[in-house]
Amino acid sequence: MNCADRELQIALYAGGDLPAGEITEVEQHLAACPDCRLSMAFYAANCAALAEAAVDAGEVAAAAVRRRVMSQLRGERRRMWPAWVAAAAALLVTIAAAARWTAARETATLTYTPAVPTVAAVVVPRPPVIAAHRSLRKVARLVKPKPQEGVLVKLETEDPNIVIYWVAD
Amino acid sequence: MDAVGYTLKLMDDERGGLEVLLRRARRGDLDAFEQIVRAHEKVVFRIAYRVLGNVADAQDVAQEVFMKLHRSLATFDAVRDFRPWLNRVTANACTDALRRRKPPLTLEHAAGVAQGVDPERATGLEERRELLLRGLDQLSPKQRAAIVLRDIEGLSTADVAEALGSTEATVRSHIAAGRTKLKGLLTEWLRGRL
Repeated sequence: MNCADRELQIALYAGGDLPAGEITEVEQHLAACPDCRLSMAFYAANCAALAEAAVDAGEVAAAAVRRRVMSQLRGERRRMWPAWVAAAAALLVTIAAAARWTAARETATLTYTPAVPTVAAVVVPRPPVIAAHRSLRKVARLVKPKPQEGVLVKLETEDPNIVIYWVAD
Repeated sequence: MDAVGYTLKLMDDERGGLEVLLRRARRGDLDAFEQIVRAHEKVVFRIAYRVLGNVADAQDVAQEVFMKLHRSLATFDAVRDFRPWLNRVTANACTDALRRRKPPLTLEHAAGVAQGVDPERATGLEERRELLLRGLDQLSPKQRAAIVLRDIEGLSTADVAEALGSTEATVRSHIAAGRTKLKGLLTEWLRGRL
């Protein structure tokens, strides 16, 4: 095997990547060939120079990637809310209607008659605040939301334990 | 707790920290996911930047990698699977981006860039590094990815093979060919033959 044939092995040897079974053979060649020793030193210098390139390049650019990713994920989540809310509202209306139908078949001793849930819309400034509170049923005035503001929607029933709040754009 | 004990506790906390964050992120906690991104954004961006050579492309690839990460959170069985997965997806995204690109710099253009470097001073580490990084453009996508992951990022050949979806023998072949080509380019530029 001549020096040209050894070139790839020497390139690997300089970076510590030559398979163990080939090391002795290459080292014996290097001991006998000054040109290949120079070549090996050149490769080793290149590896050392590239290793120094592993410094943090572009911290600001990397941080900008994180902002783009999180902005996209939070935007996707906000767009998913109306579908989730509609499903929850439909489920509650079904439950309330079923409870009313069942109550209508009971005897006179039953006094609890859940009504159809009411919906109230209240305009709140951004960021929206969702808080549970025990309050009597209120009928809020429907207000046309201003631009840039979210809409807090409250779904109430006769049962004070069943109150749903959600925020829609 | 003394200083050594405090340091050991911190290391354990870091290992356990990723596992907790992954668990929270799987349950939809975006704040936890943001912390995972923050911990790995630099290395992903750096790999992409070294392979692709410009900030805009590197940012696009890094964003693609983290979006894929979010969609794949449920697939990690353990924390030990996370970093190899991240390396693999980053490398694949980089090589895909390279294939979609126009042809790389011509040798003449690269030589024009090298003319700004004084050959007599170019044996200095910093100048040598600058020329080598520009020379990465002349490598094939697989060779470039292998050199970046092995020689710049310091991954073992086994980890590079896992990241590139190749065998160690194939990775060594890419590394050897890449280093040989870079040596040839640097030698020509230093001699001023181009």
